[in-house]
Amino acid sequence: MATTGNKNINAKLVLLGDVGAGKSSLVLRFVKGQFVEFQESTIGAAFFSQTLAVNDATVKFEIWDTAGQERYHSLAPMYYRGAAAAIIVYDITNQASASFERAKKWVQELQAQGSESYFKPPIGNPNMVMALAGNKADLLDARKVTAEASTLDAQVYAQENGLFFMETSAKTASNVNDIFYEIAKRLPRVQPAPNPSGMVLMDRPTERTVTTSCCS
Amino acid sequence: MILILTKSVNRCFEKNPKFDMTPLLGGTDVVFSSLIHSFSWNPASFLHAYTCLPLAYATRQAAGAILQDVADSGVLFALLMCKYKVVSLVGAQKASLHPDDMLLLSNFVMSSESFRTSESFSPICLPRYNPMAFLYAYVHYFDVDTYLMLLTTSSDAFYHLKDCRIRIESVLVKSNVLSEVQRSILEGGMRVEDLPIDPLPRSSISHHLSQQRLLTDSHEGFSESVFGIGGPSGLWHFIYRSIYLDQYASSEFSPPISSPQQQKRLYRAYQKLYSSMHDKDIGPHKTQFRRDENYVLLCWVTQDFELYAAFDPLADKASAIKTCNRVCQWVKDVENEIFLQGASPFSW
Repeated sequence: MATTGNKNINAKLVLLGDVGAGKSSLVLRFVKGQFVEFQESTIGAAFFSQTLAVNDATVKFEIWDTAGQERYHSLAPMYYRGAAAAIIVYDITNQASASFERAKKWVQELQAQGSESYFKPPIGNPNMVMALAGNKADLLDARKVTAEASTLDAQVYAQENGLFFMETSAKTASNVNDIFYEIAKRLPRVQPAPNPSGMVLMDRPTERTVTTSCCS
Repeated sequence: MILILTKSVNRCFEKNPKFDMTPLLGGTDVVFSSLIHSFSWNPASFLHAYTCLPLAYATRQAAGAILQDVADSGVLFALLMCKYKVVSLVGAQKASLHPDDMLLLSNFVMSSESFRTSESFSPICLPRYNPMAFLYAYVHYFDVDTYLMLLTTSSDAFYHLKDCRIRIESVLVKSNVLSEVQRSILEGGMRVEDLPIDPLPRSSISHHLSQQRLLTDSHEGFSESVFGIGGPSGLWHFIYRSIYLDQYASSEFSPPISSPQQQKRLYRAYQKLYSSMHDKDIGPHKTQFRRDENYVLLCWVTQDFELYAAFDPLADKASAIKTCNRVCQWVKDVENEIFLQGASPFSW
């Protein structure tokens, strides 16, 4: 959850998306200003932090860059639990839009986890700021579908689902800082008034956390 | 493969023999190729023992103390490693880490570039510890060579482990452990040329690797003319495996075993020697002396240790045996620096 204090906002941010969409490349561009042509696959998840100043606040992002491989899917809730923001990344050059379809699945999962039901408290955050990033914009020529159509698809999809959409390129750095900046601007500035059904459950310590912290 | 997927993958094969596990293993090809490569250079793969970075006893103690501190706070295993060598490691009570699992762990971390860019948190399975379950590994590189692994059973423990790492890092920096580690990498380990020749006055003085190095350095002209082709009696290389500690120490490769091809050939010879010594049908044996066109190989197995030594093919048998005794004595003299003592989880 985003927490505020003197206009300092701590926000957990998670990157989700298909293998090879460019999640790590986006983060490395944003956090370290680096880009490598052949980025190795992420193992598990990598953690980064980066601070951004927006007009009225300083936002400290705690970023979880998750691995895209299928075998890590069941672990994803561990990383997006309590996240204030998510960037769902897909590869715009990907054939048959498989990468985009995978991105939609992630959006669905986050929405489902964010909604509350009688039986389960939400794992995700119903007020999560979600961004859709069509990455590898520098390779526009390689795109199989015509650029306008697929950009339009993504824009419409994003609008219908309450996300904002940007085409990014970790290679040229185009729109990379912008997407994080946009998220920072959209984060709720003030915590909603204490709301036992929503907030408290979100931060509830699980049994396992207790065992790790109670020892000497 | 179990490291990445746990043995549960067997269930998938039982249900569907045509089950294709390739997608599940995506992105791990480097882990496998590096592991396969390690079977042709890393003695840990056939000795089933691990090796330590040579360090002053007090330095290793300091590292062990802070690791023990975090292990008491709910961390299952804490390992501080430098490439494939252990700086220090501790385990929670009753938990022991098998050397084979340590090889898998260090290979996993070393081969994946992604661990170097930031701190990571990843599920991992240690087949010798529990082939059915995942542990969670927190991995952080302190510098290019040195990294910390904290293993836990809890998938929620990342922030706790991150705090542990910050504590460990500040202690390691304050007590100069990290700079000592860098120094040790530069200095290297035992060299056959440094094998003490005079067996007499040693019992009274405690020996240190670095002191001996100073000694040989000051006699450089002398040692070069006499031992230009390895150590005393034509000793080229040795591996000493301590049975109780599950650790081994080997000498640095030095001329004439200098090229990678020669090292690989010697490695294969050791491998054969090891398997012939542990052959279930005709062994186990106590000693073996073998001479071929490449080396004289001498192996000596006792209850406490195994010694594998390679000599010049023309080496004299009696003096080779004498040299082996000296090597054992030398290892005992410096054991506090080359081995991790006591605090090892195997003592639980």
